[in-house]
Amino acid sequence: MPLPPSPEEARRYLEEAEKGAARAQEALLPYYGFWLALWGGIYAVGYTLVALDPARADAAFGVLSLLGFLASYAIGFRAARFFKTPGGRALARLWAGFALAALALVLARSRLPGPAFSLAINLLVALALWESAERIGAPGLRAAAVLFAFANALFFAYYPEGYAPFLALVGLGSAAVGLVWGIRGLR
Amino acid sequence: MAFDELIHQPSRLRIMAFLNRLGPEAEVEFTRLSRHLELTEGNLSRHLAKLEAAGYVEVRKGFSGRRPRTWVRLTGKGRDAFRAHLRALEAIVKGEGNDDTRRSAGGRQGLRPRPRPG
Repeated sequence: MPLPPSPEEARRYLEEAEKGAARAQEALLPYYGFWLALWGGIYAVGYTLVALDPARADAAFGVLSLLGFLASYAIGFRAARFFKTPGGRALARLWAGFALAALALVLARSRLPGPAFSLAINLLVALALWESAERIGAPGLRAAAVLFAFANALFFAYYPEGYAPFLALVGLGSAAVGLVWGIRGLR
Repeated sequence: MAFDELIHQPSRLRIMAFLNRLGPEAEVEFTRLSRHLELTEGNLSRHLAKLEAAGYVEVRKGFSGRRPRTWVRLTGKGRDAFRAHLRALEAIVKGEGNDDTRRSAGGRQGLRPRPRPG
């Protein structure tokens, strides 16, 4: 008569299950990674322009953001060829909503001085990141969203001259992390 | 306690864990599943057939553009069985394996499960 496994065997089987779950997470990692690298890169370039040449930065940032949205959805469609998850569909809807809110802010741009416009957009980004974390079950991303929101507010209020360089650095760091995730996930 | 001999086979345990982690209603394309779990397509097919026969997974044929694709999804029954199986393993690790666990495992046909590669 077969017996259930010993505690040692059961522990090994639980580790096996953990490995299977980790593989699922790793499978989605390149998509999240390249998405993060994309937007990190856009922030790094865009806010470097804001710091160096604010007069021309608006148009360049606008074009970069538009391309970023198109590329983001391309990444999403690529992921959907292999993985169809409710979280993925929810993310697509959420970021479409974000794009509409951002577009509304762009329409009101003439009444918003540069830094205030950036703050408004970035607080929207923080909210969208928080909601994304809820949908894909990533508590680390939720913490990052809170940090991002408060760092934005503090730089805006107390160190405005460092606001654009700070966001360029955040972008650079995010791009680096995203690339590492992306490349690791592709292995 | 619901120790499940069918899920207990290491490859099937990993398949179930993978699908469970993707979340309810999530589907994964067959070749991706095979690649991420490092199982040959033939091997994966055989395991999926057993899991499908038990009602633990659903295998659906479809198209992505013009390419035919096979999608795999964990069913509600599969999710419940997988979670119950994990709870049974945890109970054994904690030394709480009781008569129910033994009856459940002993009541099925087959040899005592041993880890096997692939």
